Amino acid sequence: MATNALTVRELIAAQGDRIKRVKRLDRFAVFFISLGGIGIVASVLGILVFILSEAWPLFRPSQAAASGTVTLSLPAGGLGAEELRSRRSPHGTGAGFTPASEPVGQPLILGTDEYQLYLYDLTRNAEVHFFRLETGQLAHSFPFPGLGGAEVISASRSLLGDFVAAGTTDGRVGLGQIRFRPKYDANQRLEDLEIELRERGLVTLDPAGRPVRQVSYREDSGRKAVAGLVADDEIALWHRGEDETETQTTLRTRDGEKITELRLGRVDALVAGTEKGNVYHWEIEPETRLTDVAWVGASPVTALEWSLGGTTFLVGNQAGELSGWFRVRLCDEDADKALVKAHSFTAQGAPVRAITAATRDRSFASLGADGGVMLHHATSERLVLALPGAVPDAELLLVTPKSDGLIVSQAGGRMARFTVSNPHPEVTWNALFGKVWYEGYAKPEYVWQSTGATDDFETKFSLVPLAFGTLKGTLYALLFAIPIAVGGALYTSQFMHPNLKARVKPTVEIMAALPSVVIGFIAGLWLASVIERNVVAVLLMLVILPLSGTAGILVWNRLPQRLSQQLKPGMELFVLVPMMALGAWFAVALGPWVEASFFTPDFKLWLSATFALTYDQRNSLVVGIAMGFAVIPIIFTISEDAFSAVPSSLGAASLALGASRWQTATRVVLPTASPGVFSAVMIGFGRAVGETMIVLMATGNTPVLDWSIFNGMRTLSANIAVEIPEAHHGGTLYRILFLAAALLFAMTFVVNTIAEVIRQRLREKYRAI
Amino acid sequence: MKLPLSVRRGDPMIWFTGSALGTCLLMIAGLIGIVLTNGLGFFWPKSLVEVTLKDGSRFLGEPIQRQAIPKPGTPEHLEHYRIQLKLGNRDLLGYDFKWIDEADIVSRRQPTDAFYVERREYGPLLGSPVVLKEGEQVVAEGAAVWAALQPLVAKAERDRAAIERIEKDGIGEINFRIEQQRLALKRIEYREKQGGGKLGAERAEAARIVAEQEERYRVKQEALDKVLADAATTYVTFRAADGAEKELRTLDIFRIYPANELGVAGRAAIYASRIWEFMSADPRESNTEGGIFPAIFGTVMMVILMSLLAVPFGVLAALYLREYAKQGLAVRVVRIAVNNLAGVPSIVFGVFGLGFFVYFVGGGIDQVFFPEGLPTPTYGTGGILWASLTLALLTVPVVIVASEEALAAVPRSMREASIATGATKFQTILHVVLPAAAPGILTGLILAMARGAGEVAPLMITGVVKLAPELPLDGFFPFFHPDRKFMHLGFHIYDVGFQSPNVEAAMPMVYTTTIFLLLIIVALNLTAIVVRNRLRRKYQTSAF
Repeated sequence: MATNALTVRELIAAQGDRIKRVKRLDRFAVFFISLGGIGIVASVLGILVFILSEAWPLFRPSQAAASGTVTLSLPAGGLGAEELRSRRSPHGTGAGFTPASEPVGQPLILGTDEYQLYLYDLTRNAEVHFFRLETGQLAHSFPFPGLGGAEVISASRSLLGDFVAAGTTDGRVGLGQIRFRPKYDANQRLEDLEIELRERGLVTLDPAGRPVRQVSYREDSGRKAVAGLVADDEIALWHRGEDETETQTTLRTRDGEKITELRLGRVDALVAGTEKGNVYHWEIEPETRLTDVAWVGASPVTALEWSLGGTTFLVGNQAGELSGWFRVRLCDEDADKALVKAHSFTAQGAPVRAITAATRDRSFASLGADGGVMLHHATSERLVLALPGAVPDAELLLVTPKSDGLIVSQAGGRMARFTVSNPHPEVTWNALFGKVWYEGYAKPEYVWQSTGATDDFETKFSLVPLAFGTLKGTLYALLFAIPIAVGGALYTSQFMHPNLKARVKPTVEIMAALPSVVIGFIAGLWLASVIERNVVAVLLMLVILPLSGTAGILVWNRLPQRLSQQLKPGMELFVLVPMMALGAWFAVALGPWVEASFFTPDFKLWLSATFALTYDQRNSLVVGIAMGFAVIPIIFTISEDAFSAVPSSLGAASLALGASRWQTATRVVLPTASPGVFSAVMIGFGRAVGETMIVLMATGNTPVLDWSIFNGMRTLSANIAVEIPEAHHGGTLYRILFLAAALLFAMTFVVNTIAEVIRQRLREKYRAI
Repeated sequence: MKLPLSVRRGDPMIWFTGSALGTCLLMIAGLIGIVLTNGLGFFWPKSLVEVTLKDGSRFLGEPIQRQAIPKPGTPEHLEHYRIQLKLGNRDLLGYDFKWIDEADIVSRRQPTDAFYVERREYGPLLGSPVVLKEGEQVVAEGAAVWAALQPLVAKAERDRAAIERIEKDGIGEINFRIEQQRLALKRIEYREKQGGGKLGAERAEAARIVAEQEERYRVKQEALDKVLADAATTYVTFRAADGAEKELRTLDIFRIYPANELGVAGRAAIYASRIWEFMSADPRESNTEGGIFPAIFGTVMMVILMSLLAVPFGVLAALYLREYAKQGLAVRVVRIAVNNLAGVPSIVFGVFGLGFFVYFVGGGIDQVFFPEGLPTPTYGTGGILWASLTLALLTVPVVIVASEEALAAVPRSMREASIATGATKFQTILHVVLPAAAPGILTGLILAMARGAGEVAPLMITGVVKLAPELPLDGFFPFFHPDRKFMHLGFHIYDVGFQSPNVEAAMPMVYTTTIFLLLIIVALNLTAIVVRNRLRRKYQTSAF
């Protein structure tokens, strides 16, 4: 024995290196597997974190930072008499000259290019100056075409396209357009911009030669309109339509109300604000007419601007209130549209001096008399930015073309610049989950419409119709699936012959493996048209199938004993399936007759006449059946497991006490297994909520808010599949779709966790019995 | 009235629950039946019918279906029938299918000289051959054409194969090399721009290779032109039922048969050759004709890649959770969470794949390794690698759960025996536990594969396309191209069924594609079930 022990010890000693290696390997395995396991589990769970982090920037507050002040300067001594003449005081009325000591006259308008290389202004001596924005040095100077040294007292710049108008003291308006053309170097990098000032015409707005105190000018697709304020309550309007006919009209306010502001909109509509706090709205095409006068507030209107798209206009007044207005047909029966105050915004603390719209979205900036700057989004009413008292003695406000900056002019040619980081101004909780009043809608509504035909389309990002569609589809699917799946599972576990059971379960498992794209395709292309042709028959089946089952039982009970005994308990299926097939055939045969007798002229027309419901070919009925088909196997398998897991002693005790099979099933097995059935339904719910291909293929994917079973829906998941390929990486739509994905994730994860916990509890309970 | 005993016992209710199960089984049978009847019958050559209508017009076509005509509100509602004919001849008529009211039909016959011609463009041609010409010279006329045409059609097939060989292998390779040089040039330019100085020598080298390849291209093109000119000398003219004539190159004829003259054996041969074509050929005519080989290939390839990624990670995580982690509340919570991840909608994984793999990882790879190509992305766009990774993530929970169950099923006594002989824990796991658990892990893998093969939604946004010009695996270095987009059976079903310009003509294709997808999935599932049963039996006998 001793030698043996020695040998073993020697052997071990001889193998010492190997044992060390093995032990090292073992320690390494512990480390590697633990690290790997934790890493994999963590990274799988990290999916939600990543998805949320992609959606998070939607809700990050916007950032703005002052990026310095530039002082514009004209070259010393380089000013001729013409230039000197322009140096009148900002509020001069036309006669006096101001001393020549001011560095730069007060600009009437400001503009910049999209790269923010140049800043241009229009001065009173009808000159357009281009300054380098970095340094403030004058780079180019052009006389405004066609004005020939006339004195300019008012000017306007269009939101898009840099169309500029200059109103003179003698009732004329010069029109021009500023164009920037980028020049690239050999490496395709931007080098400089080529600047051009194109003449667009000269209009004699007031034949009487009164000064044009304010001017507004719009041009699109060959049509032009110019409006000018020529007296306290009088607007001179010049219009040239597509057919080149020119018209000149004089517009007056009621009772001589004094006009404070006027603006032309895209669709050739004109609005004017008055001292009494009214806004007047005129339609210019096809003929000029006053359509609305609306009361904004007690104090005078001090700022007016159209937002992008030219449908909504924004009003600011002396009291600092800001509101958004558009015209809409309030009821279908209305003959004309009415002007409505659709949006009101956080007020400025001081009189609103200016409003400027952004060119990329429906944001706008406003300037208060106290130098405060605010940035709002017109649709979502979100206060994107507030810079209280940022620029004292501010005069003009400019939003840069890429909406990434603000330029505010101060006295003495100083320009305060701000960079703005505001990638998702249109998103608020309310815009995503609440009602929003969109242009063209009679009241605030939940709408999802992420893209439109034009660039200035108002995006509508309400997730409510999508969440509604998800719930609607899920509800119909579960209505269809639960009775079939739970009933089938109860039958399989409690009543079915064991031989059959061994075949049925794998069949249903195969059903679970059918890809949803196949179910969706059959539903969308085959079932939808079959149901459309046989709607009445399908509805009849709801009644006829149970009836045919009952009839089967009655017939069976009348059969002679000898025959009925052939069928062992648990083999009822062989009688039922043919009976049901017969019932289905009967319903299809009866359908046309019922339709002809009760639903005249046919079901669809009857439906729209009686209930004002439309019938879509790909509707919720189809989705309910198809998605029900997809969730049946899950609910079936889990509830069957739950039923089968009920300890057989319970059932045996019940049967021994004289209860029938059915009584045992419903009073003993079902209550005991009910938490399992509940968790099965929850898991089925989770699957239906996330199902994508079936809804994508079997509905029309229109986001509607309507419970009708005869029209379709758009679900969160299908919406993601449809829109994410088109969504720009990092854009608002992209992030909103990530938010939708996070919602889906959270919804299914929570539901599944609850179901799983219930199941585990149940398992423990059974173990205890 | 007293209810019968059976009713009081609740037997009718049992029947009701039974009928629920019956509905369920009927639905499965119905779905499979619909797919099979619509899909299998499509390739069977049917007889052609020529109908003459009251207005004298004549149509030759394959009868597709017969339907009662709905005229709601009139006594004639569903009284009369109409038939749908597949006419082919889209280039002559402008449509493929026509509904004909049976009341309008004066006569029907099955002309013996009616031929069904499958050709390169415009779908099938239905008509009778009139004349066969070689150049300007008439070779055969009328009934003699068929005999003369048969060898020419066989020759056309050989010619097409030769042309394809030149195009794919020869010209394809040249294009590949030129494309490589184009990228190399871009890389040179990029490096020059980055301040690497002038790289004149490399530039010249690239230009030299391009010139060389272009010369080779010219030679190949000449060879191709020669084959083409040689192959395209014979023309055959067909006359449609309405008298319109159409001249076809014999080279463009894929298959031709006298539809009303064939016996069962002849039909079966055509059926088999059509199925073979469907499985092995590329799609034609915006996926409505030809085969689905790239889709089958893409599906299988994607599933394999996915499994290669999912299994090691899934098993590793399961090993940790089952063998190494301290069993407690934390592990229970993690287990539930992992279990529930299997229930998270696949589209969510797709969104994650797009944001993380495609834009974040792929975009990063492009920044570092392929900056010369930007803004055109190399990896920063959907591709088979990203799609497989996404699906691997989707199926990893399935593998983890199955592997954990398999590990738990290994009897404790086996581990103890191994430890008692002095093996370390890792040795025990490697040599005892994992082999015993392997069948269970395999079941998990197969379930994961079945799920992965059927998923479409996440693929749609991470790399599947309706038509991929190149397979992700080919003969050019590095042979496997993980950045390429690919085709997939499931997406093919969606695309052809719902996005196709000619849904009616494409429908049967969709059903047949469905059969293939179902075959793959059912095969995978059946394997899983068989493996699981074997495994159970094995452990029932070997349990202590």
